[in-house]
Amino acid sequence: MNEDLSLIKQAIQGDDTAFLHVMKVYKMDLYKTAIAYLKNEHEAVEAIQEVTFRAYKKIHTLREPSFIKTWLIRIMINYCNDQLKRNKQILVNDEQIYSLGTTDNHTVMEMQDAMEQLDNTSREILTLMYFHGLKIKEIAEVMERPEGTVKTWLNKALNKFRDILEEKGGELDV
Amino acid sequence: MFDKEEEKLKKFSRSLDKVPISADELDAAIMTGFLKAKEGRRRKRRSVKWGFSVALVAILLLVFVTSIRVSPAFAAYVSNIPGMEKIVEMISNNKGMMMAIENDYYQEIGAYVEKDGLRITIDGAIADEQGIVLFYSWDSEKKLNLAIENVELTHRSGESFDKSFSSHYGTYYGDDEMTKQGMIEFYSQIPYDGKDFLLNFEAYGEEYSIPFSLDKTVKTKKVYEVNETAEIDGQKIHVTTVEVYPTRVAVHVEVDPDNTKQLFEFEDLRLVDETGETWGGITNGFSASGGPSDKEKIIYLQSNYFHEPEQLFLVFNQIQAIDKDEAYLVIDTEREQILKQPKGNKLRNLKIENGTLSLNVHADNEFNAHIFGETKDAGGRILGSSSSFTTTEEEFISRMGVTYEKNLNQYNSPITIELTFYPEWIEGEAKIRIK
Repeated sequence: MNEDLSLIKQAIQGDDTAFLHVMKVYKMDLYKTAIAYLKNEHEAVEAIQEVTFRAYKKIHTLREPSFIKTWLIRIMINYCNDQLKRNKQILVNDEQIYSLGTTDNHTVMEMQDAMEQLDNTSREILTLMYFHGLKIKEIAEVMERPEGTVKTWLNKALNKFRDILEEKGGELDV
Repeated sequence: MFDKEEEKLKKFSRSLDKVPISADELDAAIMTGFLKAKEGRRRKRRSVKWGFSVALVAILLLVFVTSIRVSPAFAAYVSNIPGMEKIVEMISNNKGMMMAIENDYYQEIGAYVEKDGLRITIDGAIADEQGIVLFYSWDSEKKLNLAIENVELTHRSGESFDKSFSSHYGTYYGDDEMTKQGMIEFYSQIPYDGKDFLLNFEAYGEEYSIPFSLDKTVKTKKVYEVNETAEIDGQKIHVTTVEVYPTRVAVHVEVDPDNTKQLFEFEDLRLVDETGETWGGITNGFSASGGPSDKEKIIYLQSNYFHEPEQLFLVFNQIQAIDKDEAYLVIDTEREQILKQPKGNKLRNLKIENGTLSLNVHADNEFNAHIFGETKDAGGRILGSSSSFTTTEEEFISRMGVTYEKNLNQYNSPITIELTFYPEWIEGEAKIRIK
């Protein structure tokens, strides 16, 4: 992580300009996370607004400036978890598929469906690892858990993910 | 062990990277979230104004996509100047600017400022007597995206120009996530004086100034006195003059006061020469000036300055327009109801939350312009607005909203909103010979 740590420090200390800059730097990471789970662009943009709100209220509690990206993404994942609970009935959304491009339709539908069926921890681990390229060590630091625990979680998550996909695959063959 | 699953996740991740989104929209969401948080923290709220103009300047999306053919000589020329390839990429949707570069009208500048390991350079410019388009880049060990703000152009002494410039600027978002280039456009209503300037702006809350000079003599505009009237669907449009600058073309039109329709936007106005070659509108930047009720409007097109045609025509087939007595919206803010809107029920799902009003706009065509103009309450008080947003709901349906400075319950219901754009078009054929 090569971001400007002093800027993040300023943001933690309550500097509004620095905070806004930090948010703008990570907006694409946040949007990517949101669009993976929420039903459309409108909701994803709203999620950015809400995450900005929550981050601003909480940023003084961030201990380590270099954790900022993961910290922000975790706020987003939490927000998405809440939203998913509320929107349980929505399984497939045409609009999002549309915006993700037609060639990947099948993948997208399958993936969204599968990710939605995961428990919160598994979803979080997979998002951080595969959508944002974080390492086990980094996740462990931010979550304040031993690396071994994170590895166990990751294994569990991938296992569950495989089960969900295989179940799906079976259904599709029928 | 989980190779297949890992590959699926990575593939999904890559398709997520491809989701299109406007950076401005995300910035707007960040700002709204930030303001809400501030509001909650202290009771006294600073008024923050940011980037909202009442449709005096419309920034439009693609109307014409003209493909750019680049000659081998041009390609060679471009590759000889460092950084030029990126600049060409930035302006590839503007034929006029491309031609300026092709005709060696770009001037290198290379003036820079350096602070805390961040170096910002004005690489070059395309300038004419009323416009200055600057290309800048930055270099930093801190790999942050640079967002410049509060840009201002002054005389070298720091003294302001008599008539200030309108400016439009932004970072270029190309294929790379990390961008290091942008452009700033300045346009003045009258020719500016002097060749030595100071560019002032803010980045990361720090103020920067870069002194620079333009040394090439700028070319003067070509003016066509037209004075012809075109008619589309019974609406008369009088074209007075067409001014051709190296950076852009300004088409001056006057709408007939007796027209029954309010004309919002000349979307497909274009210049066509005797061979059929076309110069269309500005797709990113200043596309027009003049509010909906102004008699005179100026429409800006891509420049054909460096192309000398035998014949030149001004052509248009479509105008965004609506009956004058329908060009507004009345909203009961207490009951959250639209009391009056243009025929066709295109505006639906009104929602009011504190100071924010939003609704769905059902268009039958591509429509991106923001519809909300000046707003007055039942007592005739003007409601100041602080921000606005547009998001796409479905194809041809967008949700548009505007946030007013105060909570809407502090005004007398109903409120009246002037429409500045509306998804309804009149069609016809208009062709005026200007050369």
